[in-house]
Amino acid sequence: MNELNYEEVWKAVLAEIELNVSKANFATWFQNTSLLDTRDGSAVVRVPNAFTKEWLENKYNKAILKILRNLSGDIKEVRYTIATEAPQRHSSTPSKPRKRPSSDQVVASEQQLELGGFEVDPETGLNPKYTFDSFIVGSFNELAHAAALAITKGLGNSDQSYNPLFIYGGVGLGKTHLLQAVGNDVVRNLGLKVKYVTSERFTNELISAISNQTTERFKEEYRKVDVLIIDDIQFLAGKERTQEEFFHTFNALYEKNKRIILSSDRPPKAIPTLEERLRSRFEGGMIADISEPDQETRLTILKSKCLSKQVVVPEEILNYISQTIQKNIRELEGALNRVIANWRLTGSLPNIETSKQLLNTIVNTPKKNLTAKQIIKCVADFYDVQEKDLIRKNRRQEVVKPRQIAMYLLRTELKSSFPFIGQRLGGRDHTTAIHACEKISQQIKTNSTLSDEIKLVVDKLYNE
Amino acid sequence: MKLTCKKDYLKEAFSTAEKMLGKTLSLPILSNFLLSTDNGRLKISATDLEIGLNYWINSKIEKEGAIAVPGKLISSLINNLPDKPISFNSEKNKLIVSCDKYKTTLQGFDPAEYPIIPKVKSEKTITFDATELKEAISQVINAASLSDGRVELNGIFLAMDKNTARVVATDSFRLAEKKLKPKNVTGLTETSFIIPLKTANELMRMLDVGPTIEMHHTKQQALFRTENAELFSRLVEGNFPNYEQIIPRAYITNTQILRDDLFNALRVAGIFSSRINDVRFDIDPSMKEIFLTSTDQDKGENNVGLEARTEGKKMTVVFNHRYLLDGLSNIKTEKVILELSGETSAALLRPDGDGSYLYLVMPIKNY
Repeated sequence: MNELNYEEVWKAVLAEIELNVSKANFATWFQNTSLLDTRDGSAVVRVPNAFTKEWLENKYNKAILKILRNLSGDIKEVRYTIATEAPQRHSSTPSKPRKRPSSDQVVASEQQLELGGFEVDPETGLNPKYTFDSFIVGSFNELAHAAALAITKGLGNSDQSYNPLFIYGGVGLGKTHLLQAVGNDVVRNLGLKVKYVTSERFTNELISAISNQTTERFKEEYRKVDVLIIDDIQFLAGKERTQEEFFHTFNALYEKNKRIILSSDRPPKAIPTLEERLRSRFEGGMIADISEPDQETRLTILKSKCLSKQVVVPEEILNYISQTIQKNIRELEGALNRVIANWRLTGSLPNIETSKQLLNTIVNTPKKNLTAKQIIKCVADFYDVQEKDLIRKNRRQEVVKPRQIAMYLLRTELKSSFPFIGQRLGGRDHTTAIHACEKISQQIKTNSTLSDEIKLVVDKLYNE
Repeated sequence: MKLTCKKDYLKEAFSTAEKMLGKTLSLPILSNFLLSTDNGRLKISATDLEIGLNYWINSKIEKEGAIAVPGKLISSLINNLPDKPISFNSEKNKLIVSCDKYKTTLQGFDPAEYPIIPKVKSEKTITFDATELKEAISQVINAASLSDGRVELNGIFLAMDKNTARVVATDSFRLAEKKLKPKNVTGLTETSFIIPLKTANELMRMLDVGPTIEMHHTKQQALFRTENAELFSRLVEGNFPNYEQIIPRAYITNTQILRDDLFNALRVAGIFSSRINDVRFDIDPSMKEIFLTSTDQDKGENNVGLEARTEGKKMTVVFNHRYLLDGLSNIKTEKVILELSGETSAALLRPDGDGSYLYLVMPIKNY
């Protein structure tokens, strides 16, 4: 018998039983039951709960067996199994539309914050809200998006060309969104086992596994997945034991043709103290970057957020937000939320003036007070040269480049005058400073390594 | 069936079983109790087909037998009878109840129609002190979600590892956790499951009798057994959120307040809070007081200063006063500690000097 037949057979059984029992009894005990299997002379009947199981076993077993026998002669016994619905491949179904707690409980307002991380599926670590549908593609991220999509399409065949997929880009540009979208897509459509962790979580789990002497279980846990996704892999830098463990996990999965997807805020070669063997593995697959979105894309993102929040914000304001906040999609959303929240609070439709005022605090947050000294020290540290070498008369190649970068940063970050820059770096002429700044700004456009390096230095400057 | 037993026993059994009766009357027999003789005792069963209760009471049995009788009816009858021995005598589908000078005949039903309360076959057993478990459940249950939007929050999470059990409930805005030690554990090292809210409420009622409670469970169902009662329940399917990682390990500001002071202040502040139940906390370590403010455009404004010992940074946070009151009502120590990690981060409320309990609550966003 195939599945369709089971359904028909069970319908016939129910039809016959219905004749002999009261309506209430029939509704109580036979609703949501079905025939699952009839192999080896024993029929398996699915029942919704233990009460129904007891009842059918004790009161209706004979009748069911008799009818089943009449329909197909070889059945000798009937077994009952409890399951809420026809067993499917395990998949975390997209959560039902969320209901707010009913009004007899405390009324939860829009402003009431929720505990973080509750949406996350404890098994896969994925948050179902991240999907491909809500991911907006522009020229700045289309490569990463295409590679991610290719993975969901190509899974299952042995095409290893995108393995591992390494996605890098700045904060708040959608790396996590993309990674989780791949995971959710794979779970939902292919039913494969996915595990999403941040590298921090990976490290913490390893540490507690070591202290609890459960490293075997830890290894097992990570090596049985079909797709392993690790976010913010740059935090593995400097953690040797974790890197080693990850290296073995990586190899175990790679050999079995399992997929590995990684994200970082910088390309593999720019992650300091990353072991060479890991670096080369990361570079062995597909590397895709996400850069900053252009203004049109930022506007599209804002519009799609408005749509999902079901509010209409005047185009003028969206335009203003998208022009003022350029580097970070998360901040973009934050700014929009602020406008909407103010609208709800005051009840008056936002206009461009009030919006400007509202966003003033975000846009003009004073940058950290930087000094020329800090910039020079940071550049020297980054390129591992002596500060005094930058200042001294010295034209060795390994010093010239950092010196020019320091000049460039003094100009862009501090808006220092060229004579001051020249003066600060060993009493050089202002034309030297002009030349350096021009040269670096030219090279940034063509040389992605250099632009990545400078981004890192700037990050470091503001984060330390 | 013919037997005699004490009125007190019957009264207690019926009042426990009465709460179980099914409200949806698709199957009329579910509004009945099943009375039956069982190894020299009277067994009273009630079920709504989600949970099932068996309750045994000592009685003098003259003739074995069984009958199903309307639950509400027999319960109110017994409640109002004089405090004298009561005897039951069943004849076909009728039950004759005699007590002192009262004689009542109830129309009952065929006991064979009554649903069978399932058994749970599991070697795994966890035993708790009944009073301790009751206390633990009562300390977390008001944080559980009442909405059925997310089934896994619509219950009490019970997790066991090594020698500690954790009882947890949350509605995603606040979370309560109580740790306790089981008396005995056999056949397992760690386990976790979610008990439906209704079962948890029923369980608390059953735990009044004590002295210990034994739990058996499989993946889908559980059986809770005390000396004279047995509660069967399905378990909630689904995964409880991985809540441990959201409990803040450090705080920015920490303030110590007298529990009763805070409780009263919140109740007063609550009267003047706006529609969203917001109460603002102004906490400044350089002051010997913290200030609670609630304002509503129509009602007015309330201010109160509470004596407190504060460490850390100055902070202003807005909370839903009802969430905090729920947490405080679960705490009985003289002082409470409020640990804050920012105006949009989870705050921890804990009893002073008792590490086994914590109450996590999210603030209200203050634009």
